[in-house]
Amino acid sequence: MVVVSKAESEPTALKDRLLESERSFRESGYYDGISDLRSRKSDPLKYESLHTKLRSVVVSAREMARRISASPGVREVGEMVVALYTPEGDAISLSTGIMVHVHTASRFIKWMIRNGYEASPGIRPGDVFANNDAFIGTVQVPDVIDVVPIFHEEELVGWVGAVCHELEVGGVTLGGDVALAQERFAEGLFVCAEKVGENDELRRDYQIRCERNLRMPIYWILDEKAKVSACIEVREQVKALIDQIGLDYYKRATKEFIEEGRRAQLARVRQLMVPGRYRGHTFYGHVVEGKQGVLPMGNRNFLYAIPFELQVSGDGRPHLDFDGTGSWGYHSMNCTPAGMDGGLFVTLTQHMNFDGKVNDGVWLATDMNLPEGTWTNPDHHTAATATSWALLLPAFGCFQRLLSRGFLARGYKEEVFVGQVNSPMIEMGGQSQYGGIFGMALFECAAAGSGALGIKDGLDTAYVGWNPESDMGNIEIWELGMPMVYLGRSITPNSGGYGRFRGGNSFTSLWLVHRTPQLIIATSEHSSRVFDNAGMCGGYPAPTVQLHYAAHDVQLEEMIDQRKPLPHSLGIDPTITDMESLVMGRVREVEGPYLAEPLEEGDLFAHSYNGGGGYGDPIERDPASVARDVENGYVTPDTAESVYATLLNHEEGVWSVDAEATGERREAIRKARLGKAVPVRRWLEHERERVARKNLVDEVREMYRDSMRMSPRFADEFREFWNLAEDFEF
Amino acid sequence: MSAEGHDLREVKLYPFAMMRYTGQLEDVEVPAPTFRLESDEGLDRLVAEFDRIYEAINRSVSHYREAGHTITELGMIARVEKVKPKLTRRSLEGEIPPEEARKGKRKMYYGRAWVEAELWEMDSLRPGNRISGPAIVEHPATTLVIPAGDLVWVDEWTILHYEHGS
Repeated sequence: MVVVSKAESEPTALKDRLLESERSFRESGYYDGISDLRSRKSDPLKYESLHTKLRSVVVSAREMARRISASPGVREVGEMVVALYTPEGDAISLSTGIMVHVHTASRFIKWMIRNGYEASPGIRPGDVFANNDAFIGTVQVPDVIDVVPIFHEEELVGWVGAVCHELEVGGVTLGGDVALAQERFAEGLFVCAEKVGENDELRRDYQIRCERNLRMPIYWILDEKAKVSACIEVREQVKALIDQIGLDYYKRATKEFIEEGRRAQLARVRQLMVPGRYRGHTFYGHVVEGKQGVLPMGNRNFLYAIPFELQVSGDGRPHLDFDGTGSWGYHSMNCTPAGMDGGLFVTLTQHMNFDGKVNDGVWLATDMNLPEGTWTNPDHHTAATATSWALLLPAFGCFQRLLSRGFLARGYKEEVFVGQVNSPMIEMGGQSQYGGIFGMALFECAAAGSGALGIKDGLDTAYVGWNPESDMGNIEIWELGMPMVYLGRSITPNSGGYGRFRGGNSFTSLWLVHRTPQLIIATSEHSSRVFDNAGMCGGYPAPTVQLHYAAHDVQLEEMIDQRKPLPHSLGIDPTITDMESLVMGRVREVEGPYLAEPLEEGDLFAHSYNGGGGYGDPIERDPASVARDVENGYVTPDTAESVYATLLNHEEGVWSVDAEATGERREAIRKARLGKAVPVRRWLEHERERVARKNLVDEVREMYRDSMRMSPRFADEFREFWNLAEDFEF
Repeated sequence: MSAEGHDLREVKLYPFAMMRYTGQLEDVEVPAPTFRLESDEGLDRLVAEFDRIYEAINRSVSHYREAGHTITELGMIARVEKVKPKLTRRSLEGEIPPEEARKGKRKMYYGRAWVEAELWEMDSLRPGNRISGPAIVEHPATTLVIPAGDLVWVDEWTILHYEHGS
């Protein structure tokens, strides 16, 4: 007989609880085996009051933390979230902000428990643990998570977690989303589920590591302090609440919140969706071949296919399947299961579960197939994930459209949302305007255009998938952090996908590089050559941002002396930008990620963000809305005529609809469409010839070859659909 | 303050500094220990006071003295007991305001319609005066809009009373 002493048995107590909780869910189907919401039933007011208090505690802790941070990303844009967890690491309540991370932090806590952290390095009151390893639990290297345990007397009764998106991570390219990382080793500073603090203080040696390995340590370190302050604040308030209501009630009620969240999610799916199989497809183009700094392993252009299947069961459980998507690669756009959880969570919380108990119950009511070896689940932890949003957002934008099809089928037209798209990130660094080195992500991309809704236009410059609190931040604050000043930040005309309800428009910024001999810019997360998101029901896809403009040898002072007009945006002429037509110097046009020669004082740089996809046929758009869009600069006059088939009169700055001419134009377009149409069967025969002869551009051929190699099911379906030989392959 | 009738000997001055750890985006208001920072010791005391207040607001872990401190603003709070207003009771005069209060008429857009409103000067109204809407009563610091049906009257303390019509 083996006698286990108390001292020996204790270090695995938490692990046993985690395994027990998972077992009881597996066997009973209820979270932690909770089949009866008895706290809710017996005293609903006490129960709801606790939930509201916990939520207000995490929300106010986040606001406190934002005042500590030095990062405009956190202070201005709100790239932060605070959440409360059970001892096993399941989210109970979360603040506003980047809700993406609720389950990523959950994975991080569970990972520590599973890997024996109770024994070594030990989990004690006052400890602080940090992680930004996506294979343990986060989305990408800049998403640094801190967690602290909550002890009540001797017992660990929960965790508080906080996440900030860092603006600089010390990677091979400057900033947070390290565009040129091809492997983990170039992604910057990793903290792999480490104990970074004790006794409610961050260890000085950890801070020294940050100070010596980052270009702007002030962002990371003060964000760490902000997060840990928030966690301690929540911990202390939760302890005070437990003293009031009793530990047994706290433990029971918080678990019921999660079980209730799970049931609410299932009920919402049953209410809004039609059970069955939904299929969609989206693509992502990455044009980097031959660009400056691209290492040999990834020196080619990538085209990703993201086929997406959603099975909704009769009891309201969605099963997401990424079978058929491409393999992970030597680029920074790979994603881990934790990152995919993030995409799922933020989509569901915004799209479906926004008014209920938003917690890990939502996650328990869903599941995903992430085939090993694909970009959704690399089979090697050295794969880089620094810009995983590049593929993640198109994937979950497609998910939103599939959900919306369900909503539409059930008649919930007002819930229909065309979905999210990528909004490109600008990362930069070099010499700052103050003389030192710097690195920063310019997070104004957090306010792009949303997809259209089933009943109205999308939001203009006010949406991004990963942070429902969308905010572009004040220009003046961004200018404090980078050696560029704004010449303009303006609505980009035609950037909302055309439709009966158009996608939300985005904006373009144009900067003058200021007081620096070297500014290196690296952009990421924008699809090239293919749309990364579609429209719905006849709406056009969200336009993708393809081109960057940089002007060198501008001689701006001379232009100002001569009182010549300066460029403030790219203008509305589709054939030439204001940057080219107004500027005297050399203008460089870069397709896809801007990976080019550094800029210097006096240069100009323009960058555009993405709008959302449209809903419905644009020639069904209310002509008065088109006139209003033209008047306000959302749509150009030529697009009003060519796409919206709306003929306008323009007198003294006022645009009015020529109703008769518009009606005639729309009728003519309908007839022309019929004239151009061919039966699908004939079109398919024509296309089949191309496929059978493999007459596809290199990137497309490679994309299908990869998908067929990764998934026998995809390969079989592909051959069957195109009626190809059994041994057909690319 | 003396122009407002305060005895300057009664005014108390409190110097403060707006401070942050260098690189932060938010200030903390720190009462300064002295009016003039003339020594390292004085500066040290100010910095120590910042650290104390900052940690009280944000919890101890959030300090980052290694980054250095920045003073973004110096300021001073002048504090004195407010002069209490003295209300004078006056005898009521007629309901119709004096001629000097009358400023003519102007158009007023109210309730989705344009109406002709009487225009009055608030400071010239007398106790007992009554003004029926539509009217606008102007004052250097405010504008009182009285739609048709509502009534404003001035009591014996020169306080304006607003009554909604039925």
